[in-house]
Amino acid sequence: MRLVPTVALLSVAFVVACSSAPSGSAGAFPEAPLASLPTAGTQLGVEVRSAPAQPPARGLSELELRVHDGAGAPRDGLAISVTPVMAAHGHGAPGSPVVAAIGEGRYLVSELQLPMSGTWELRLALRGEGGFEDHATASIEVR
Amino acid sequence: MRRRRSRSGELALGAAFAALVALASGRAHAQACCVAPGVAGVTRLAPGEAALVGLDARAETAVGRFDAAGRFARSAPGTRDLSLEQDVFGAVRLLPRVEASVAVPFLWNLRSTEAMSASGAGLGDVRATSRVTLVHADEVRPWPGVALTLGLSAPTGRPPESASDALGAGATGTGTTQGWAGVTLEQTTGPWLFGGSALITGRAPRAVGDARVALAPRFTSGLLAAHAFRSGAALALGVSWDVEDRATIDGVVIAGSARRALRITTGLQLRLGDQARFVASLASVPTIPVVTAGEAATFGLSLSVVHPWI
Repeated sequence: MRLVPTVALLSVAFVVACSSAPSGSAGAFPEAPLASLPTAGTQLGVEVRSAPAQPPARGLSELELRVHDGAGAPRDGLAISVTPVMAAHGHGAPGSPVVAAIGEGRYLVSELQLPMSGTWELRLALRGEGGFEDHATASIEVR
Repeated sequence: MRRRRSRSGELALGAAFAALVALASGRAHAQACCVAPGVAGVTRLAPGEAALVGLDARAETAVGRFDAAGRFARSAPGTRDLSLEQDVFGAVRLLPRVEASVAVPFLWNLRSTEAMSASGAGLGDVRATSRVTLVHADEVRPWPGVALTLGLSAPTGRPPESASDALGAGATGTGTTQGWAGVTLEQTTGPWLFGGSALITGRAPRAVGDARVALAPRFTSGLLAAHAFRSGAALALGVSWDVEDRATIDGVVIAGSARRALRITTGLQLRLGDQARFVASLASVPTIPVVTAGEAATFGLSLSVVHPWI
C-alpha cells in the first residue's frame, strides 16, 4: 500500500496545466525562397519563405507565399489553406494556420505551429473564382 | 500443471523478466506522438505468478535528431525535450500459458526552445497485451522457449493536432489505433538467459486535415542477454532495431519518411522480499549515425515497482 501516496503525488504532478509562452512577431522574410514549386495543375508557381527563421525552427512561424501564373505575373484573389503533415510520424500540427492575402500575389501564413524537428509536408490548397482549384506541396526541413 | 524447476532455472527465468523489460524499454520515444509499443514489459508475469499490479515511472530526454539519411544533429542550444511517463499496470494469468495485461499511461511533457516553452500532461494511449507461452525456456531442451505476443493500443491520448501549444507538449498519444504481434525465443544456460524477438506493428491510417496519412508497418528485432544472481537480482542487456518503410499521404509515398532506430537498454531487477520487485532500466537511442534515421537520439531512465500474487 506504500504505492498509494506515490501514485497520488505523481498524479497531482500530471494535473499541471499546460502553459505556453509564444514568441513575438515573425519579422521580415528573406529574399531567397525556402522552396519554389509548381502547383499540381502546373497553372501556378508558389514561392515559400519563412520567418523569423529560414528554414523554420520548431514552434511558431510565419510563411509568405508568393503566387504567380505561368507568365510570372502575381496571382491575387485566391483562398489558400495550409495543412502541415509530418509524414514520417503520421501526424499533423497543433492549431490551424491563418492565411491572409497581402497583395501583389503575396499571402501571409500566420499561426503556423511546427512542433517537431524534421521533414514536414506543407500541403497548400489554392482556390479561386470560377471553381478554380489547384494544389501544391512543399517539403521543408524544420530545425 | 506445476513443473519442477532447478534453482538455476528459476534464476534464469527471473533474468528473463528483467531482460524483456530491457527490450520493452525501447518503446519510449522523445515525443508521445511517436510512441511504439515494446515486445513486452514489466507487465510480464514470472512463472508461478497469478497476477500483478505495478507502477512504472519513466523519464526521457532527447539530445538531438537523425535526419532521413541518418546524419545526426545535436539539439539547438536552449532546446529541451523532456518526457515523463507513469504507467499504472496490471496483469493476470488467464490460463497456465496465457496471460493478459493492461497499462494505463500518464504523460507529462516539458519542451522549450530559445523562443518559447510549453508543458502538457494527460492520459496516454492505453495498451493491452496478451502473451501465449508455447514452450517454456527450459521445457524442451535443447530447444528454446517460444512465446507469442499480441497487443493493441487505443488512441486514448491527445494527438499532436489537438495540442494547445506550438511545441506539441500537450500531445500524449498517437491519435491512432496500433496493433502488434511478435514472437520471442528464449534459452537458459545456468544463470544466463539469451533471447531473440521479432515484432511487427501496424498503425491504422488517420486523417490529418484533408489528408489521409498511413505509416508503413514497423519491424522490430531484438537480442538480449541476462544474468541472474542467487540473491534474486538480475542484470540484462538488450539491443533492438526498428525499421519502418516510407509513409504515404493520400496513397502517395513520401520520400525521406522511412525511419529506423537502434536502441540499447540495460536493466536491473531486485527483489523486495516476497511482496514486490524493483526494476530499473536505462535506455538510449545512441548518437551513432546511419543505423538510426528519422528519429530522435534519446536517453531515458525507467523505475518500476511490481507487486505480484502467487
